[in-house]
Amino acid sequence: MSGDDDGLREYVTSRLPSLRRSAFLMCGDWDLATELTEACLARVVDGTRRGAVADADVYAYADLMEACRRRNRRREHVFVAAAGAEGVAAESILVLDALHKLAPRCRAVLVLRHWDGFDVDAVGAMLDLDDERVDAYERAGLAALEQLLADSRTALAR
Amino acid sequence: MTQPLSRLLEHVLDGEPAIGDEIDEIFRRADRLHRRRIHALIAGGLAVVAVIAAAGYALTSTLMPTASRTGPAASPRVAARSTPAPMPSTVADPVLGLLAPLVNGRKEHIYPRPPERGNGWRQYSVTDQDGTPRGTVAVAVYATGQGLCFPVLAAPHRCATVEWAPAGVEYVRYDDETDHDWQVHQTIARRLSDGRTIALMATGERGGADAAAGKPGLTGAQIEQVATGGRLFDAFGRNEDCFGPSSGACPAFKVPVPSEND
Repeated sequence: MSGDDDGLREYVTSRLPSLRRSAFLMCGDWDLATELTEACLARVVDGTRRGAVADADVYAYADLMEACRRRNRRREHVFVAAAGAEGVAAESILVLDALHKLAPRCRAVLVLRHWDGFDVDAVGAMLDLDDERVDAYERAGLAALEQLLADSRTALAR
Repeated sequence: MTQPLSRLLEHVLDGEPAIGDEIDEIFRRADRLHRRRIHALIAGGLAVVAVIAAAGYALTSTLMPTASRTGPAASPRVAARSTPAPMPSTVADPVLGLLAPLVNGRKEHIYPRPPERGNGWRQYSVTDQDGTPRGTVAVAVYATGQGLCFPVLAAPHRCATVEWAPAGVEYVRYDDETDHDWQVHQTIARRLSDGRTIALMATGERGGADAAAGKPGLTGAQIEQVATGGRLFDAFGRNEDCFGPSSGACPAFKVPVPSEND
């Protein structure tokens, strides 16, 4: 049992930072991202101990994206900095703002594909989508993001 | 896009807070989830047990209502009403098999009344569908031989005029409803072929509030029909005789069947 827990602790330690960053990209709030990631990894640990988790990464990211999607409905701010953090560049605010104007599932596809680097199959398994839908979301998301960023930069330049 | 999205996103993550004791907190949460699941399982098991117990109690009290409703302080009348004896098989008791259809047609129930049977006699209780006692039915068979003087209650030394039934049966019907507290329908019938005599009597429940409450469970016509039909003779064993050695146990009839010694 303790051997299993050592392996789990190693897994949690290695995945916590990347999961929390993905959660932040999804919700724009470091505190909320931390809370969602902790809850998600607790479920992964509990499920793994029960033998109910076949692929920990797929389970964790799927759970986290679903939790972010549910929380997103109550989102009030584009970006909430961590306590004591230094200022954030205006460009970053623009990117986050553009990202958050996308539909949650479209945003999740972009985060998983372009930040976490998962392939189309893995993203499809995490979001319960077939490969064509993942591709479609990705193309639409990138096009929309590019347009939103261009519009924002134009507005800032005036 | 002019540059890869991943490079854009790198800058967004500037200002990321350091990881503190999140790892321990994650394992504490996992332990809480585990404990919560165990508690939910136990609570679910207890709920299932409670539901099964409640369903069992409900079924038991629905199917066997009498045991739980009859308290020790219940009056004898209520106790008699709510604790009917189990219905015996009409196959095992051919006499009951003849009487039961008539009683059931009146939406009443008939069942053996202890002491329920002996050599040449049977005794039954009748209740209505509410369980209210409707009196008793007594039947006895006698080996009376060739000659039988059907009694006349008003004139002990005279013989009644008999009537004839198609089955070669002579009979006299005795109905007495003048005493509201002991209303009687009785028929004495004798089969000529073997000289056996049947006495069949239905009496109302005594101690009723009025005449209607004391009416017997079977009418005089029904008593006559069963007694003279011929099948009631065959419902008794060939050697049964209420004049036999255990005749003292035979039920008392309103109009007794006279023996040869009388």
